[in-house]
Amino acid sequence: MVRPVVRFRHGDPASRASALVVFAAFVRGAYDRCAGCGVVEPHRFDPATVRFEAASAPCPCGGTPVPAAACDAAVRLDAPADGPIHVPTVAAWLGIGDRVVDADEPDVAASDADVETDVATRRVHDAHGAVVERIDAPATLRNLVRAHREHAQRA
Amino acid sequence: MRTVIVAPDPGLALGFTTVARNVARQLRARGVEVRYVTHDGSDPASAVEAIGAFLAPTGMAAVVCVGRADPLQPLLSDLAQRPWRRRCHVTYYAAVDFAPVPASFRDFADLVDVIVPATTFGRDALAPLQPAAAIPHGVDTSTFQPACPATRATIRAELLGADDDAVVVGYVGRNVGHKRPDLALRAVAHVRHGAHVTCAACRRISADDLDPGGGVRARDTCRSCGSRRVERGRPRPVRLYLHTELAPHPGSQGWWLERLVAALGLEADVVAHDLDVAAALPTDELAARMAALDVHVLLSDCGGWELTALETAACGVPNVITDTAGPPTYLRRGAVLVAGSPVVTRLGVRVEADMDAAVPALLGLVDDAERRRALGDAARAQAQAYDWSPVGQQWHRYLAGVTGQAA
Repeated sequence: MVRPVVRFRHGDPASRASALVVFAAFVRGAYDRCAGCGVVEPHRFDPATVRFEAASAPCPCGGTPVPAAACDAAVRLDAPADGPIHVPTVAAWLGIGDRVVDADEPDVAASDADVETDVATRRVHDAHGAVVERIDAPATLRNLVRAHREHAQRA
Repeated sequence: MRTVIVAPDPGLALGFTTVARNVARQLRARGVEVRYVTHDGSDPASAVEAIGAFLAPTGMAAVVCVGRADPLQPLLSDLAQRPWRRRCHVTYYAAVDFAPVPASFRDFADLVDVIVPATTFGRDALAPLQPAAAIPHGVDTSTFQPACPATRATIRAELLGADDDAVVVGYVGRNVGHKRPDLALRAVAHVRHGAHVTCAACRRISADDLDPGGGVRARDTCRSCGSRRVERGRPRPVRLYLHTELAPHPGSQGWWLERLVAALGLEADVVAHDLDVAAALPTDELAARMAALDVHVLLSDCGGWELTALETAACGVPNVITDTAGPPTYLRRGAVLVAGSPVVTRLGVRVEADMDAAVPALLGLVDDAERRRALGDAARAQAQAYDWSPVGQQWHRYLAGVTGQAA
């Protein structure tokens, strides 16, 4: 069986670990799409309750935010554990432990149904004034939603 | 009822000491015998001896620990070995600013009888450890209050160099990693220089990007929808009052703020007070400076409580705060909340404020004096619910309950 597998390209390991939260929002449909301008916005994530909460504010364009649906239950995330963060622990904490696979699994590596997308980043200052990259969660979610839609259209 | 409060040196201007001093004052005002035991982690045995010396021959005593868990752990481990430990009820007052709770914190929690969180965020984060109901931090609303117009005008003109048109934005707090003074500086710089674009299609604001050198590079597209139909922002007459340590101190994970001020082109727009926690301003002087601000910005990524947000609110100053952790739990009505990106770290998950959300939040206040006034009034009203007097009453009731004595 070929499962749709999402892979986040690029980004440092820490940003890809942060992308787990974006993936969790995606699979639960924890985001809105504005009926007016079409922009996707993730719901607020509360680390204390591990819940996503829909925003009550209207879209700046005046359009109505429409909640997304949860995605196909078969979608998995390929999250190689090569960084400083223990991915299975974070995935279990987010409640998506069963959604995360490792590229070493044969059926995953052989899959031709992958959705490849980028971890979007933005720049912040480090303590010395140098510039470092951090995940941009809204932009990463938009990338993922777009890539998944394009994948579905191809299939 | 005897109560020992274990906390850092009360002479230091820290949030922990402000809280510990005020809880002690409130309890004493209600007839409780209180001993303040200073503990910085260096000599746990002496601190434990001081606790033991204060115990009555019979009956339970309350021990309330305030501060970071790491320095308290050796003290609590020592305390656990003392034969009189069973006559102490030990509370850890936790300004929890992280989630999920790491395994090491569970070991620490085993050493205390009850954890009292300061916020509902902390209560939720600590849920596996079955904490007590939250008791909030307080604020002295008779000291932290809106200034009279003449005093305010004098401070703005003489200290802050602000003319009538200027909007003074403040950052008051320590220069430590989680408080993110760098993001407060960034937000002010984008607004000051008009370094942002507004999209004609989706009406969202995109802050300009940082260039690799640390300065700002103009955007020509909308970050949200990708449209090229964008309108450049215009500069605003904003001044920034920085009340913090300008250089990082050991263990702070803070920023070299003067470098950031230079990189962001804010040299002419910043007035800085280089904070020394061992020789801080008198509280009434600090309150007067807070009351002279138009807006306070605190874009912390995991703030447990953040006293300065509450203190500025009590002064009638609206806040711009990150929509995460402690501050939104007590300041939702007196602040503009800024959405952020969850960042997974080895120390838990933090939510880093998005500049694309912080800039419109600040712009909305800078451009609208009436909105600042209305939000400042709401902030003051919300802060009054946290005056030390009712908070002290909560502590008195709680401690009487756990020691089995009538309040």
